[in-house]
Amino acid sequence: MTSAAAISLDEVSKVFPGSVSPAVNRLTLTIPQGQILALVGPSGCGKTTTLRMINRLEEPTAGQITVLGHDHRSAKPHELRRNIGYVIQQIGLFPHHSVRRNMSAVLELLKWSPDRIEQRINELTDLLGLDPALLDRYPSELSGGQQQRVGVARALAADPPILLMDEPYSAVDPVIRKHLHSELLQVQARVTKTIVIVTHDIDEAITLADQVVVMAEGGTIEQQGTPEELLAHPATEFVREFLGRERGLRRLGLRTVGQILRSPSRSSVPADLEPEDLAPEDLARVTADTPLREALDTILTSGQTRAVVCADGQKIGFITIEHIAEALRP
Amino acid sequence: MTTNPGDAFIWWEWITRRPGEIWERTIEHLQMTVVAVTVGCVISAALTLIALRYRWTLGPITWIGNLLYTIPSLALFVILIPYTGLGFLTAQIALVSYTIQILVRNMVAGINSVPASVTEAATAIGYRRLHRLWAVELPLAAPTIIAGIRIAAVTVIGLVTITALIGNGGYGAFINDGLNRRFSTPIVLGGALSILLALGVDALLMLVQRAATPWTRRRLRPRSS
Repeated sequence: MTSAAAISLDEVSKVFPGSVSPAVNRLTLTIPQGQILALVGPSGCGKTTTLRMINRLEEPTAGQITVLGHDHRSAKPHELRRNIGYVIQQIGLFPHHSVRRNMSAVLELLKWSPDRIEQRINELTDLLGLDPALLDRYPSELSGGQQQRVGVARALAADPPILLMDEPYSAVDPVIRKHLHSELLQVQARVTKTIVIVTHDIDEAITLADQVVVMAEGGTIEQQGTPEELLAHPATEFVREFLGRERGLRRLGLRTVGQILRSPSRSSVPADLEPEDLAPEDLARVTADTPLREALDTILTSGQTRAVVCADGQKIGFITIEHIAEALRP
Repeated sequence: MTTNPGDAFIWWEWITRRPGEIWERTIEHLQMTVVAVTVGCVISAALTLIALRYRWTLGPITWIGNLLYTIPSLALFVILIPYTGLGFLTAQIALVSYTIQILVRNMVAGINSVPASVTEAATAIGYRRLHRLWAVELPLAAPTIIAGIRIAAVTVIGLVTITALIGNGGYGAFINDGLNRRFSTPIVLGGALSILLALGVDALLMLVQRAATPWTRRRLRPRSS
């Protein structure tokens, strides 16, 4: 993965007219290409303003923003925006256009030919797992989750290198939100965009992001790091508090059994294992893809201290509570 | 010439003898209406653009619209005749002024009813201001705007009967004729035709509205995934 900066903010400030204190205060931030970066923080920390300055929905009062190597003021706002996907909480689909025309909105602005648009719509439908039957409906005829997918499809239509998302999942219920999270990660695995997502939900940030930026009131950065770094070493009391409880358990959620299964063979069976422990009916089963947090829960629920790791119904090893505890050791 | 109107409230034969005149008056009435509503729409659209661009102007524009609306039409004729004479222009000035209040109010309300999330999304994906107004806000405001045009058209059709007083034809000419001769048939005819025309035009515009905004008629589905 390349580490070149897709977006960089240099000492960027925003003071809204009529306000004394800045919404964003001398913020310096580098967003690497092809990564998902989450801006998180409480209401009023300037995370949305930061996002909106990138595509010039707000103009910074000081500092410089560079997008893909160019000062973002070098292009006209509407031209800049056509190269940056944007998804908002309320989705904002055009109620008077079919789903198809919503998805092709940017393409029409870019004056693509009808054939090329049709082809792109098919690609997007496939990418986002949309039912093609929905294409000729109006947005009001879609469920919240479907509208959200169409919103993302519209944002990705022109294949922009950058996608900005402002609280994109706050309006959908938790079950659908979980689906949409994994869909976004699948989409990202296929198309690799630079994604900046604003959320007040730290768990959403941890689930989705490669980099998490915690912002504090007054528009400053408290800490930037990978989800693992944040959970393992919160830099300040503010970050610790914002991350909330069960940081250890949530770190376990970031890793899978496969990642700590040092030797996937019978040799990893602990020496003290009694023959009757090998009986499958006594031990719970997990797979290499199981997150450690879930594996720990499975072990505890089974009333044991270890579980069998299986792949295609075959035992490939064991995992113990001690193994899991080791995973959190620095 | 009708020398003997008879005692009947409506003398049907008098009416059936005049298909040509009725047709002519209908055309005149429609012309007056279409011109007034069209000019009213153009002026109101311009005022609405100003009110949307410079928010502080909305108050004064609304105030002037209301003022024009409250002036009785006969009084307005009296004020205007010394300047614009008896005839088409005077009648149109009066008719157009009555449409402004209704049309501006509905145009502003229509544009303001467009959800902020939709206009924001349009801006964020690269619509420019005027293009957005034309392609996003105008269609979404259409039901409210057309509702305003319907009210304006019905109001104008009623008022055109009065502009016959200053010699502009239309169904009002029947009414004048009847009043001058104390003959009830043309009065009833003029009034009835005016009502029918208003109902017809209103129905037509309602069909236009339905045809122009197909997305408002689809049933909403339950919001489950």
